[in-house]
Amino acid sequence: MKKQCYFSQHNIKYIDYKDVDIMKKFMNPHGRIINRKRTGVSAKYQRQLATAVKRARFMGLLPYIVR
Amino acid sequence: MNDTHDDRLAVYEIGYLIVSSVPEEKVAGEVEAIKKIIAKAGSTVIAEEAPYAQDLAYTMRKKMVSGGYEKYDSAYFGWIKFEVGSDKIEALKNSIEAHPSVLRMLLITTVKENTYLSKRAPAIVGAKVGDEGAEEIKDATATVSPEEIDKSIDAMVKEA
Repeated sequence: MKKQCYFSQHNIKYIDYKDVDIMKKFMNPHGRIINRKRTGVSAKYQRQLATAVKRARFMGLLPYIVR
Repeated sequence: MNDTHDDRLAVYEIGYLIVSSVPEEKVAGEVEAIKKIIAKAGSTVIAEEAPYAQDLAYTMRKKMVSGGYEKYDSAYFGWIKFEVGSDKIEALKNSIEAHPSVLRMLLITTVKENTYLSKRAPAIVGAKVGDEGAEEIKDATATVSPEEIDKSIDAMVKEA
């Protein structure tokens, strides 16, 4: 069965860069954004997620890389 | 052609990091300074969160006036959402960036509605928000009489 998009399911319209806990769900232990084919996130929200993660990284809320 | 759109109101959000070398009791003063810059541009504040101490995900550097760099592993993170004319935002951004205690700032366009879903960390300033919440809880308990509580407990015991 096809996975439903997490953000559509939870009625999340905008992904805020300050919502670190939500964004961490879609990142692997190295701090990279997980492919939407694995998470089931829709293209629209994957784009929003990518922007939010990059903003959070700039503000030091999320790491650019975890070794 | 752009002149026709220049004075349009838009919703912006500024996220800022205040350097950790500022003592906790003086952070409120720094926030006031940032707010003054925003108010000067004739903006209306929609929402905000007072800064709280935050460990940074990586070490950041800030250029000092003397020429060298200072390194920071932690900072106070806060944000302000406001509405202002798009012609004033550039000057506003530059003046906040130039503020000596601002380590880094991020300016984004956003929407009026609340987009921040997570629980907020306890703020250093702006304790009013917490106080209001406490009052609401008190009111809720005041409306329930002790007899009603007893009844509900009895009902629960019976069910068990």
